[in-house]
This record gives sequence, C-alpha cells and structure tokens, in this order.
Amino acid sequence: MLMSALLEVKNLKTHFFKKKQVIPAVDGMDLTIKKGETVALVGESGSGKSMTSLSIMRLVPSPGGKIVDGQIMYDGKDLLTISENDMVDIRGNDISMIFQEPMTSLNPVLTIGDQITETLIAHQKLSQREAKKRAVELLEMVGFSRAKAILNDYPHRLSGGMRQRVMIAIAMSCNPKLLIADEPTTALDVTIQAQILDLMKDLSNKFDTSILLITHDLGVVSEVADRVIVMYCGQVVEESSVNDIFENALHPYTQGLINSVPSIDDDIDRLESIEGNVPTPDQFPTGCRFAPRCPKAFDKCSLHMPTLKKIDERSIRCFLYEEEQS
Amino acid sequence: MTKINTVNESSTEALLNPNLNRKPDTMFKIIVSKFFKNKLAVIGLIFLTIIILSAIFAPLLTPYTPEEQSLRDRLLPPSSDHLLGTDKFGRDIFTRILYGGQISLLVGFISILGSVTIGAIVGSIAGYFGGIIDSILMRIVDTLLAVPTLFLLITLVTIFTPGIDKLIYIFILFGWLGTARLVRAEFLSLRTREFVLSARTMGVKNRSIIFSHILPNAMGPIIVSATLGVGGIILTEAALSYLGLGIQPPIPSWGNMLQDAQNYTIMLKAWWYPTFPGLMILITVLSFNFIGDGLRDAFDPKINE
Repeated sequence: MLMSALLEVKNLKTHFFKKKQVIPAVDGMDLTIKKGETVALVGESGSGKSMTSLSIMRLVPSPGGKIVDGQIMYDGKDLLTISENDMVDIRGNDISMIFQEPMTSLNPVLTIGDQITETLIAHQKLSQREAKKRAVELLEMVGFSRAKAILNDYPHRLSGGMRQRVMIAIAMSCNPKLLIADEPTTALDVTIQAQILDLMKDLSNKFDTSILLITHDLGVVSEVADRVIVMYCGQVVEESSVNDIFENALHPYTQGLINSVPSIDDDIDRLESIEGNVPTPDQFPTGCRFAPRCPKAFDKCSLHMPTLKKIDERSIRCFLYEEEQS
Repeated sequence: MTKINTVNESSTEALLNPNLNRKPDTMFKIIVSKFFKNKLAVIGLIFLTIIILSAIFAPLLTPYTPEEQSLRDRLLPPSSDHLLGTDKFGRDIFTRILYGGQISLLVGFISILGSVTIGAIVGSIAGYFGGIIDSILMRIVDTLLAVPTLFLLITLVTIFTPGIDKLIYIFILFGWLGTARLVRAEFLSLRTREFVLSARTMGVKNRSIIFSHILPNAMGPIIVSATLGVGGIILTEAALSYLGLGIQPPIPSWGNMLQDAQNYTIMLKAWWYPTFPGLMILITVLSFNFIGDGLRDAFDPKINE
C-alpha cells in the first residue's frame, strides 16, 4: 500500500453501563483510514456506527458510556491516552465532524458568522477581523455567493441544505485531515443530497482530506466511497473496496443489505429483506451475531464467534469463508 | 440582514424554502411583538416605567426632601400642597414614596442581579457537568432551601445592624437557589442537544460552550424568573421593614412607611398614611408579575398570538 494510514482504530470497545448491565455498543472494532481516502461505514440502525465515530472524537455520552479497551492511533499518538486539553486541540483542527440533522446542529441563538469564527479564533489564533475574512472565504468555498450577508444571519433563516453547507464550512475551517460525516445527507431531499455529496467529494480532493462517511444509504456509498466497512452489532463483518462490495459481496449480511435496495436493471416484484431485527446488545447470541437472521447459517454459527479474516484485500467475518480457506 | 434574500445558490433551494423570501424576523423581534400583544403585560410595563422614572427623577418632581420634618403640618390630608398628605412628623408622603421607591427598587434590582448571576453560574456548571459536581452543588442548594429563610433573615438582621447593604447580601445569599435549580434544569435538557455536541466536535472549550452556546438558549426562563423575583424581593423587603428589621428610618422605604403607620389611631385618623405606600407596593409587585407572565408567554414558542 502506497498511502500511509492516517487513523488506525484497533480493537475498540465502547460499552455502556446501565445499572448492573453492560451494553457493548462497539465491541472490538478495527478500522483504518488512509490519507485522502473516503471510507464508508455502513450498517443498520443500532449497529454501533455513530458510537464508533463518537469514540474517535472521544465524545462518548457520559455518564453511562465508556471506552473500555482499544487504541485509536492518529499521527503517531493514541488518542485514548492523551489529555483532554490535547484532545480539544485535535477536535475541529485535525478531526472534525458533521451530523445528520443540519436543522439542529447549529446553535439557534448565534449567527452563522459567530459559529464559524469561533473555531478559527480558537484553533488558528486568528484575530476577529481575519477570522471574519476567512469565514467569508469558507462560505464562498461551500457555494454561497452572498457570503457576507449570511454571516449575520441566524440559522433558522437558512434551509436544510444551506445549513449543511454551513456545517461543512465550519468543519473544514481549519483544514482538518479527517472529516467524520455522520449521515450527512439523510435529512436532506434527494437533489440537495447530491449537491452536498459532490461538495464533500470536491473538498476532499482539493484538500486531501480523508472522509469517514457513516451512512445506511448504499446509494450514497456507491457514489463517493473508496472503501466500505460493514458493521453489525458493534463489529466489522466485512471490509472491502467499493467495487468488490457491489459486485461480489461475501458476507450474507452485506448481500442482504445490497439485495434490499431496488435496482434499475433487475425487474422483480418484491424486494428482498433481511428477516428480523438487529438484536439489542443485551440479547446478543453467543455465536456469530448475525446467525439468527442468516439464511446460510449452519450449526457452527450459533456456537462460535467467527474471527475477522483477511482474504486478499478484503476482510470478512464469516465461517463460510473460513471453511473455504482451510 | 435587511434585504430579504440570502438565496444565492440553486434556485431549487429557494423554491423549496419559501421562508427565505419573507421578511426576516429575528428571534428578538418575535418575542417583543408577542410581548406587546399581551395587554396586562403592557399595562404592567407602563406602570413600572412611570414608577421607575419618577423614582429616578424624584428631586425634580417634588419641592420637599424626604427627611424634612415640619411638626406644624402633621397628618395633613391630601391637598395641593401635599399631594398624598403628610405623616406623623409632617413629612410629605408623596416625596417619601418617590424616594422610598428608589430604595425599594434599588434593593430589588441589585439583589436580583446578584442572585441571578450566582444562580446561573452554579446552575450551569451543575447541569453541564452532571455527575458528582452536580450532586454536590445541588445538595448545597437543597440544604439552603430547607433553611426557614424568613426567621434566618430576622436573626441575621438582628445580629448585624440592619442596613441596605446587609439586606442586599442576605437577599443574594438566599435568592440564587431558585435560579440555580432553574438553570440546571435548562442545562440538563440543552446539553444533549445536537448543536452542543457539534460545538464539542469542533473543539470548543467547555467554558465557551457553557456561557456562549448554552446559556443564551436558557435566557428566556432566566429573565422571566428574574422579573418575577424582583417583585418577591420588594415584598420581602417591605415585610422586613415593616417588622423594623429592614431599611432603617429616617431613610424611607415603602415597607418602613407602612410600619410608621401601623398605629391604630393613626390608621383611623389618617387613612392616606398607610394606604399610599401599601398601594405602591401592590402596584409595583403586580406590574412585575404581569411583565413576568407576559415575558414567559413571549419566550414560549408553543404559544402563538
């Protein structure tokens, strides 16, 4: 591999403690993001995607949540061992994040200008005036033509798509090396979705920013991602390049996900769906966590947990392929 | 800000969001216009403005000074010389009400400013950080709230010589508790909001998240409780002064004017003596309450028109 790793998550475990119960929201997660690469993290609701991203930011909801094990290597440092002050410097400056709900991620009582300049002043030590100038540039960069007027506007005056642009402007303000986008287009309508994705892709190419895109929309994945990581119940079940996933998904769960999306080429009456629901963490089965819903499950699946196995450039957590190899 | 469209980009978005082509309403404007639709609140505001202005400009409005005695003019009924009559030392009641207003309002405003500031700081720290910090701070609040305040006030005032400054200290000491609880509750719900998380992911420090991101969002309830609180403090001050433990004569306050008049024979002979200070307390407190209610409705996004 030519590109070096920007972020390496190893065996991350984020658990929630509720009374005497332990809920393993993220349970032994591995993830590598290279420079300039866009990695998509997909999975159903409750599979631990968002908790993974919040763990990287070290912003797991507390009290209740805690990172109990693992390593998050960034720039030669383990983000889990550095001080909170150092972490504050990394947030927004090196790693920044945008969220699903552009309607609620901006503070309703502060102007757009206040919210952009704040990060610039904090991280880049700019003066008020320089920060304002830079804010205008940033807004122009994300596609506002009347950037100066927007500065004094309150968020409620902007549409969802415009607010998401503002969020992107804020997130990109300090030229971060990694942008975590937690379902950035889910709350937007389709035309705006495409614009926002294009914008993110453009900026990522221009500034060589890596993107960790969290989504459950496979359409979005095929459009922007280089690599795909499929999560189920707090674990990685499959990881491969975006082409391989769509051409030849290995894991039964991934196959199920892909088959449940309508395709233009095939003419079918009824879409396939994956039977059942994601089990809640307190009801995880002992063996493979997907076994109860898996159409290809056999005896071994419900007894033992398969390991994440590397096959060429891909990784897969399934006994079907372990058998093949041996 | 003045001109409508910030629409700049794809016309689809402009079409999809008709709000953009409407005249902008800042939140402040919406609140003000809602407030002015509430008749009682406006009446309260008018009364209060008159009272405050006349207290401030007291020297211009009356030829007398509040301490000027004239034994020849004792207990005169209202007349053109003495608009609201005179008291048992021949002092002009109108004058004393104006100057007394200065004291009562000053005590009210300073005390509420102090207690709201302390309450907001304690409440926001407790609510934002939660956990052990919250537990410790809130137990302190609970303990102080369990103290029978009026009796403690009376004790404290008897130990230390009563005076305006001490009265203010005591009001602040016990006044911040309610605000602290209120602000904490606001913070508990606001801190889980997405914009707070989003600010944290951008590396905004805790201090500015608390004071410049969350606190402005909690301003509505704080202003409302402060407004209602001024009325409460004026009442308590009047009660303490009435007991002779508040503002000490000859400095006039509405409460100690009432106390001056508490003699039975005086009340029968000179009805104007207790009536006007009492009426002033009533009108002022009522005005504050009306304004407070009006503000509460104005800040509440669920109430429209």
